[in-house]
Amino acid sequence: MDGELKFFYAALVIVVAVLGGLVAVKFLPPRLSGLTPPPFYTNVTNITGVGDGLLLSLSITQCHVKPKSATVLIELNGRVIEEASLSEVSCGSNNLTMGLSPYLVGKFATVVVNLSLEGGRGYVLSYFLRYIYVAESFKIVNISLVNGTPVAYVSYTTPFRTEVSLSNVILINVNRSSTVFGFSCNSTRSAVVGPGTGYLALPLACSYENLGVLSPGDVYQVRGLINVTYLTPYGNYSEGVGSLAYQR
Amino acid sequence: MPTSASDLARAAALLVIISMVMVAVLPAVTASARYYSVRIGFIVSISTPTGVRVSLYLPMLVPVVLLAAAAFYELRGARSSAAYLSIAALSYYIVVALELAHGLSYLRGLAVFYGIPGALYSLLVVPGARPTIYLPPLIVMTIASASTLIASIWPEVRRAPEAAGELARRGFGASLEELERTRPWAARALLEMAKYLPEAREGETGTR
Repeated sequence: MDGELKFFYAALVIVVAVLGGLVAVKFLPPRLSGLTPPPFYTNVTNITGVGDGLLLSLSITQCHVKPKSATVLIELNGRVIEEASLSEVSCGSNNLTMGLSPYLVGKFATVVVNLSLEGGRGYVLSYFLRYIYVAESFKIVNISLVNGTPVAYVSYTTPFRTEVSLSNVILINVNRSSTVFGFSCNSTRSAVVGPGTGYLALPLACSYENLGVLSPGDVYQVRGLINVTYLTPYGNYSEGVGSLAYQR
Repeated sequence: MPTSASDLARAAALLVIISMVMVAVLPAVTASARYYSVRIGFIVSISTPTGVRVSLYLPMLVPVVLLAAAAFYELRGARSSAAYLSIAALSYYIVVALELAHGLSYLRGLAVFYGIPGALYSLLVVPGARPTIYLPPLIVMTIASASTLIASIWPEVRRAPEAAGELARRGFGASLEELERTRPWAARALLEMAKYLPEAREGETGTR
């Protein structure tokens, strides 16, 4: 080793050193995080559907540097679904209203908050995982005969204009374990309701009817699939909601 | 000639020591923009509007240790070992500096990660803070490595023409300079042959 310098050994030394350097940086990167306090702390304290909008509460605390403006993105599977901006934000609580896409309802989404710092001092990006809670429910509460035709009553709460229809409805007399209506029991039409809460009556056409097992005082089980289509400016979004209820 | 070779070795050792100190003290990579600066070497310093913090980055101690060993070997006369060590230190340093610069260029600016409660993660981004490799330690280190390399092959380089001159006198009855004028092909052949003569390699055994 201490004799004549061999180019082969020199090349070997370079290769080992280069690989060593790569491994060192890969497994022991410099730790810059936590070295200095962040300009401020950010948190998404609440994100809730209100009507057909989404209300987001943004808390900014311990401001070493004042925030200037905010841009909030809501991403689902890496795709931006909603975006909103606030031209002025303050240290404290800030509320932001943005559109509510039907794709976000009842989903875990990534909320990306981009807060720019006063005086062009860069920006702070924060990523949050939040459940988008929106009040919505659909349920078949009752089936009764109106002029000899079975009619299903559906209670609903929806944030959007919605088209509702029923399929695979079945009414069972629990006391007698007998089916009253069933087997390809679908609504004869669909109904469009506005956003909000209400009741809806949909006539049914059933291939099997056994009115003989209808008896006052018995308990009946109502099952069915509620086909919901949200009619929104973002486009139509359909989903099926299962429903199970008991009636007397 | 041995005197000049040892002088060169001492000068190389001095350069290695200087580069070792520079690598230990100065950053390898810097990135700065208004109100912000990050300097990463063995000493890491980060300055933001919320404060200045200093810490150590242990992987950057590796070239310092290699250079210290190179200086030690150089002073003891083990010149090829010193050359290998200084080359290793330089290669390691360049690769680490390049990797750090690449890592810092995330989001086209300076990015500092923060762990904020409730968030998946959070980062401060300073646009326009372009990471650059800090050149002074790199330049001195390159010169130091080159000098250890030259010191390790110096005796061979100096003795080969002497041995070629002796061959020219014995074989052709003329000096090497004369032979280069009259028969350059013969002079080139003698120079090449002289590299492999034992006389040309004597200096190396003396350095062991």
